[in-house]
Amino acid sequence: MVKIILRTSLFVRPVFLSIIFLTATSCSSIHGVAITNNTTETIQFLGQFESKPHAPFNLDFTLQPGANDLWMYEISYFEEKTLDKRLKKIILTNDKGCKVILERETLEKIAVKNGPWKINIDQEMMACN
Amino acid sequence: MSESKEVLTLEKFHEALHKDIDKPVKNFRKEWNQAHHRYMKVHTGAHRALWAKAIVLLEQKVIIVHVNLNFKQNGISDADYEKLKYLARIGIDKYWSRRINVAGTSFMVRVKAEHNYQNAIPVDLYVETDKNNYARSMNPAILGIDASFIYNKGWHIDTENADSDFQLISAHEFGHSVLMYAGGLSLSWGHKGSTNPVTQSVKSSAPGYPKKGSIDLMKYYNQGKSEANLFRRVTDSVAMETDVKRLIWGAQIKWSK
Repeated sequence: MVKIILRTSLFVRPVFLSIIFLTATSCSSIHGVAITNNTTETIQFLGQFESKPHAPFNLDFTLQPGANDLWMYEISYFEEKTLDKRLKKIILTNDKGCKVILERETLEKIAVKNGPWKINIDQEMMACN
Repeated sequence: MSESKEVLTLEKFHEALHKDIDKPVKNFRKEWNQAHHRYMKVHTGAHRALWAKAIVLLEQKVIIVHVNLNFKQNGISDADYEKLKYLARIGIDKYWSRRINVAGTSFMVRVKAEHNYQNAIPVDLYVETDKNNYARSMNPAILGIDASFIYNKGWHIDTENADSDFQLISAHEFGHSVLMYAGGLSLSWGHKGSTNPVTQSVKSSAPGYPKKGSIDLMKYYNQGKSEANLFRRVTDSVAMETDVKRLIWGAQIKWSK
């Protein structure tokens, strides 16, 4: 009898845990923000993020002409599907020293949700006078 | 690091490897059997994983680890099936091959993933074409449930990103079988202590992505503390030395001078 209970629990426990595991992982979804450099210059990307209670942090990377890169994040199914709420500002600098600062308000207007959120950097955006 | 001058024997290699990952050196432990009123030898699981075989080439200082995965087609096209099998295999090879140090000797570990029907980790391959859905791959690594490696064809901005992401994910999901075999649920589902094993939520105590250097392939990072772009994750992720030793600990070993 003890053996039967032991064997049953050995089988039931992983199955039960698997059901919880699968249910839990399906309660959130993965999103991303993709940045594409559609200019002829190399661009240095700097994103400023804030996620309380943690300290603000930066993400930086280089984008060659025509290249893209992205970051991915997870949100609950119940959260609004807005542009990464941690993102506060983007600073773009090209080879010629042209520096463009895009605040959250602007980013929300230019970002397009098509798979990941897409932000295209074009010549017009990087036109410094 | 200076190499040990002592002659490395299989026994020394074995002992050092087991100690490095907090495993008993003997492959058996004694357990009291109540029914038969005697002690029984119970295997610790070392070098018994059917899906992994390691060859230690002492002179060349190379360890070759063959790992078997049974990739199942599940209705995807022949072309996609061949492509995904290839990407998963090279992803596992890339992220699990690295240099390790055992008993003062540095070894290059080369992991070679192979498609096999028997003695293999079962993997369902899928292609997600919906651009609004990034489908999550998984590997509970328990008997009776196949791993799912999902290629997010629709979601990604281009094929290069989709391919790189799939290679990284395949290597990570394969790693769940390694961690489960060596350390059980808490190590595998708990992503080495970085997530809750059941809910999969990242612990507040988990660190953010390191600013530079290696990214642990098998950990989740707290994205409230820092972030990493795909290029960096693809470039800097690697299986940690301990995890590669866990893989060798589970693998059946052949020793060659």
